[in-house]
Amino acid sequence: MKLQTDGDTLRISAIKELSAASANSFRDEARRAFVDGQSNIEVDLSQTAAVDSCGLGALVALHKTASSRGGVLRLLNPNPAVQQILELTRMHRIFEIIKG
Amino acid sequence: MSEILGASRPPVLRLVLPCDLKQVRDAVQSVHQFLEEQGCDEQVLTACDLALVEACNNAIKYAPAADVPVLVEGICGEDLIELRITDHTPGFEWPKHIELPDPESESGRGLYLIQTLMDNANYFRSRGENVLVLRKSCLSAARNKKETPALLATPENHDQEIASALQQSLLVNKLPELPGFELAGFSQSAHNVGGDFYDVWKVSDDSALLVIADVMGKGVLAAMFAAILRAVLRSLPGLTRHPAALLARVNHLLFGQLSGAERFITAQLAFVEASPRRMVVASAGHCPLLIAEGQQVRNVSPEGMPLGILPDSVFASEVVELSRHCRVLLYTDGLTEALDGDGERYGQERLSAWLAGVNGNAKELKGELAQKLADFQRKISLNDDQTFLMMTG
Repeated sequence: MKLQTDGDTLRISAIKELSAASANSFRDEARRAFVDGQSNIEVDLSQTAAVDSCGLGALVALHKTASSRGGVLRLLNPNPAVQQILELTRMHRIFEIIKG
Repeated sequence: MSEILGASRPPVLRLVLPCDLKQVRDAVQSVHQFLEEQGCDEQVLTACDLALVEACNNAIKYAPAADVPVLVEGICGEDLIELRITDHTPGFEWPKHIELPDPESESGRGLYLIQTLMDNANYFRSRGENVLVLRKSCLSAARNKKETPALLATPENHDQEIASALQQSLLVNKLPELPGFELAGFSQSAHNVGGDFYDVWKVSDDSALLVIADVMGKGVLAAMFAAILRAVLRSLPGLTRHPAALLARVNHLLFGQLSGAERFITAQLAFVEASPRRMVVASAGHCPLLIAEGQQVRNVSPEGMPLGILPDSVFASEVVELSRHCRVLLYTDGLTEALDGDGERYGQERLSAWLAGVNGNAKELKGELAQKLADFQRKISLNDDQTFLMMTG
């Protein structure tokens, strides 16, 4: 997992999966890296093979973290399986999802 | 760690998942590969992957100790995939209605996903061990198989003949008469051979035992287990008046064979007496018995695991008074799981509503329900056996 700071945005990429085994450490690491002055979190899911309900929980947590600073959580390029779980749980209406 | 069992049975993959969340992905990947080899399409695979991940996560997260593994089984029937997850948690009450939590909630989406992705999910609880059984129909697997032209003398056809003969032997020609009650039974199987059956026999002049059962799977083995169960039930006359004890005994006798063959059976027994008018009901993981008086319908569903899941299962029983003009329905889940052309389930609510509003004797009601089912699923072929036993009094 890679964490990069870009102005008011924290960019997270190279995530293999967001699952029960990794969701909590993903959330905690992201929160630690989310320094003062930043308000948006961008999660690049292009390399993420799978997300489960615990992974979704971590994304919800980061969504709330960003919202509390007036920012947003943005998801980039989820694969079709990940897109499916976002849609099944209707989280695609909550998160900003950018493709392409 | 895993084995694929012989070809005469449905292909089964069984693996032991250590109590470690990091190992879930590998286990799910193994099941994925197994199902893919059986010809399941991508959409079904994706759904099974995610449902299995959620089920395994739960089994591990709530495990009482880290050294008790979770058993994961994938069974690929002709057009049905079954995933079984055996956990050793204290278990939980599977909710009747599962809804999505508040969007801000960080948990509580696992069961929703399982339910949404699978055609049906049953959680069987017992002391110290619980089994989640997930089913998903996989028509594509059946289609892939059908592309191979069938020759007359294939072993499959021979098997089919044996299974059909066995099933024929299970058909009840004439139901016994019970004073003050009328009985009628209905059974139709998908793909000619199934594991559903019903049976009724007189215990005394004014009492009888009603039996309905559903052996998981199809083919020779399912028909054989149905025949064995029927014979064993009839061979224990001393227990006929005590359906719960009868189920416990039968489970104990058949457990070794059933578990060795990766099968289980759900069954329901009702010992009916004409005087006083009442019945004693016991169930082995079977869908509820419905009883209607006037327009009130109630479910009778005493606790009990399916036969063949645990060697020493304990069964509860419930005594039900039978008023005049009551209507009693024992059925298999092929009725409530029946699908119409749009993929909508017939469902228990529809069945209860029908039973609440009908009048007539058992034979008339049987005809009416059979017709209702036929109308509901006229656009698609039967995907599971449908069996029911109707009693009016």
